[in-house]
Amino acid sequence: MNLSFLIPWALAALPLALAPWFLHRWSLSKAKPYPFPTLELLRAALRASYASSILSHRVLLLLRTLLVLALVFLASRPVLRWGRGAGGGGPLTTVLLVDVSASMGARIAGRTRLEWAVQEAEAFCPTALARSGAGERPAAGSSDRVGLVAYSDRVEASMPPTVDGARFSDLLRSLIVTDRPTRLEAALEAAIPWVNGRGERAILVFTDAASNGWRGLKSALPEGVRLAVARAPVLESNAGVTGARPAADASGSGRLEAMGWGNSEPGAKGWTLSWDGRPAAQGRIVIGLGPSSTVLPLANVPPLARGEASLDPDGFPADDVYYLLPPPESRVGVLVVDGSPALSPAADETYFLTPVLEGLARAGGRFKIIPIDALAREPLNGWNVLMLANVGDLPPGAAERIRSFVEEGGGFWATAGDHFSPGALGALLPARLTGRIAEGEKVVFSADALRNPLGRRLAEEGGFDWSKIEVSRWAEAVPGPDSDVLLAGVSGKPLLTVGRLGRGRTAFLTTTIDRDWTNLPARPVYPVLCRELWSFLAGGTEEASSSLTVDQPWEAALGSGAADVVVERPDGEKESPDLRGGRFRYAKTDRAGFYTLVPRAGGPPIARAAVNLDASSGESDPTPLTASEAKKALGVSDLAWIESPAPVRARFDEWVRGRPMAGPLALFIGFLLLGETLILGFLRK
Amino acid sequence: MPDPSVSLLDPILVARLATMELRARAVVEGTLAGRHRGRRRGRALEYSGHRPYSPSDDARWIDWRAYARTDRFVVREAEEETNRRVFLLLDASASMGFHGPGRITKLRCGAILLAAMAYALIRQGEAVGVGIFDEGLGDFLAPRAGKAHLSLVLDLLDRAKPAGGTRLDEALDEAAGRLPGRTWVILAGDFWSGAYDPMPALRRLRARRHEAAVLMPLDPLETDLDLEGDFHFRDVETGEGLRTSAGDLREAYRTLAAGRFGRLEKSLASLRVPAVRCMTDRPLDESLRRFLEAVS
Repeated sequence: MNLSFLIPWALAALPLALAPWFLHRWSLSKAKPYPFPTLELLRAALRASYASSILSHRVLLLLRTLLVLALVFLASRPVLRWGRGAGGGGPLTTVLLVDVSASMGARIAGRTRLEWAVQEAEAFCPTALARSGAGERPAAGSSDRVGLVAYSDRVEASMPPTVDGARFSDLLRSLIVTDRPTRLEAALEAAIPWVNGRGERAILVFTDAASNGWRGLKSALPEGVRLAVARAPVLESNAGVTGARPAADASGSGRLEAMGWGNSEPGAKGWTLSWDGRPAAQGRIVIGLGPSSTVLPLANVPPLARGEASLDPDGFPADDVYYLLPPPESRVGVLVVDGSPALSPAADETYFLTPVLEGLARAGGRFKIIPIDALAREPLNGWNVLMLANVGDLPPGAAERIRSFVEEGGGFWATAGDHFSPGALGALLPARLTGRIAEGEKVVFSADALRNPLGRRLAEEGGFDWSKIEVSRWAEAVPGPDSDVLLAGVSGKPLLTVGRLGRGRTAFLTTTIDRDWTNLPARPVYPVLCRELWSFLAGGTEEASSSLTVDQPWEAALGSGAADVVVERPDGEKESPDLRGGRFRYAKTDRAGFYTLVPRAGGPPIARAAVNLDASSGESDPTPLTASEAKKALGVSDLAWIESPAPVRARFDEWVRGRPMAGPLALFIGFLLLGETLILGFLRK
Repeated sequence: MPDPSVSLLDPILVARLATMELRARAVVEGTLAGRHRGRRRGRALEYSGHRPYSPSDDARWIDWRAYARTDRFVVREAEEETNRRVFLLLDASASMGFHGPGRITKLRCGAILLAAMAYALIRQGEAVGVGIFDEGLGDFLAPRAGKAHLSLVLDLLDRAKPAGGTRLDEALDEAAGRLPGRTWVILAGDFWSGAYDPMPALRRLRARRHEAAVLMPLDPLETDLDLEGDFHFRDVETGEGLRTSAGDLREAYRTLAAGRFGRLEKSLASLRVPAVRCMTDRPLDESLRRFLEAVS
């Protein structure tokens, strides 16, 4: 912190501070001579009244000295500056970083946070700076330059420091809120080269400081650059939809997940479920300060219909809508080969599969269970998935038929067991067996599972306690190079591994689907796991109707004959995706809403994706960051933290240029005068 | 400084004194007959009683008639009316020259009061002496009666000029040594005696069976310090200086002054020496009346 003066020559009057002392001495020297009978009592009185009287005189002298000092300081117009870079008052280079992430769309007191930021940033327009040069700021003038970086998790727009007020203003007013999350680092990296060098330099960040975008920030500011953060107005409370899950089976019930945040209980909010723009159901959900959920009726949803689960809008309506796609009607056909048939139904390998298969059939699918010796007679091309449950040796030629079936796009799922013998099937499996049977171990949901669409799907289902699955015995295996382990033991031994073979998909469960080796069939996840796994192995459709978050690339397999396609964005624009190897990839999912893949020549949609705000990025839960958290995140100790509704420009000037001390000095002078009056009153009394 | 406009014998003051009954509290021995009773016993002028004979008694004083009646030696006691010896002692040190604005000096105040008393006493036939002192006893007139002596007394009082320090103790000792017999010493002084404590000398004076009374001429400024502004106070006796604001000290000064004079009067009372403060802003006859009330 240092003190500078706008009129430094006025400090030449500082010696005037001695005037009260000289006046005091002069006054005493001019005291009237007075012959007195004796000084005996006078001296005693002087001693007796020292504390009350003489001390008061000395305090009075001190007050008057301070008064003169304060007046001299006031005349020299002091400016207090603090923090790194407090220096002279030369031309200033300022780079404004304006947050245009989704949460800046939150509307408070009739305007969005971005509108607030733009309005406040207008005061930094170079022409405005030039106009204000005659104001309180020292040496501010047309040589000041201002740059601009609009950012979300990337740089959306930028302009190097300039004195061109019109350009600056045009760019500033053109900024719009994106649906992207916040990541300040990219903006800082863009701004830092502009503030490298000499002279006065500063970076001012306009943001709502949605917390997650700041965490883990690692930016080293150049020496001498001063950093200020202007935090946008904050919502007193907010509720957002953090997820909606369509019905996963024929039960017709999905789930709405919402989260409340705020200084007060958000309370109950109305929700609406719309399909293709038409309200399908409504209700109320009580949202506490944390995750809440309710059941959505999703019965009779037409295939590939798109829906919105929305809450009563609040100050940040962008997170009150969740876009969702229902699962396609399940038409999966599963052929199950029972490798361990038994006279007792409960001892049969397919005893626990049958109820799930029956559920599949109710949802439009079909299944058939055959013994191993019937496999040679059963045609495979009528089925989507072939499942070998604890199957031993295959009939001659069966392995080749199965390989051909999978390579052409079929699904294949093998489960281990006491009869299981991979034999010629070993090459089809996504994991290589070691031949050892391992003892019991706890099961975990693999961290790598989220790389796989099936893993993501299972994760989306949520609510499953994977650790409750107990496996007493399993066939030890090593996952293949292109496979994904979805479930594993705590030691890493794969339990469920999925992979690809040709155009088809394969899965291998290293334990049985009965109660001999595992309790999996007794766990709630079991039917879900079977259903999702069959759907995954059937291929194709699970990625075509994806649920994504903003900025997450949309990828899916593209059917044959659909090479010329476009993506219809939520804003109505049409763009071509990247096509490679029979798959398409569209990365510009920068807005929440529905994305539809359609043939360029027109026709029915090929695939749809629902893109939502990322609840975990902080954009749908704009919990404001505090100054201390921001300092920690930015790794700086002298950060200026300006909270709305404080005038950003004035505070920034105080931070960078210094705080004019006229007001505090005038107050100080007032206190001195008051003190003098009180002491004089005391002395006169 | 003496105020020449104020004559030593103010006719009004003297007229008032003529009506006053000067009565001593103690009976003093005098060489001239007067209205006061001496304590010389023996020759009968006016019978006062008998007492048993003691060997130190002159055998001529034995009342033989009483011996004839009672067969015991008794001495006849009588009192005779005697003159009183009064010695007026005026402090003429420099501090006595102090006076507030529009007021007479303390010296003049003391001199007037003593002169008035001398006039009245001599008119009553008393023997009056006078002494002027500062750092020691200066001019001295032994007590005598008679109008011719009054003029000497008045002249001496009138010529007193404030100067020098105060050695009241030495003046008292010297006066006590030079005064014949029992004498009523009336002291007019401000008792600013610096480092010298006059009380032992007064005690010795009393031990010599002299009576004493004190007139304390004081200016109100000495007790109230009723001044405003910064002053360079100068001690008129020592020449020492002190620069200060009178207003700052006033309260403490008044308290200290009241305490000091209170203690002085208490000490004098313990020696059975009546003392009266004579403020120079008050009428002199009032001060004189209070003095006479105190000593009667």
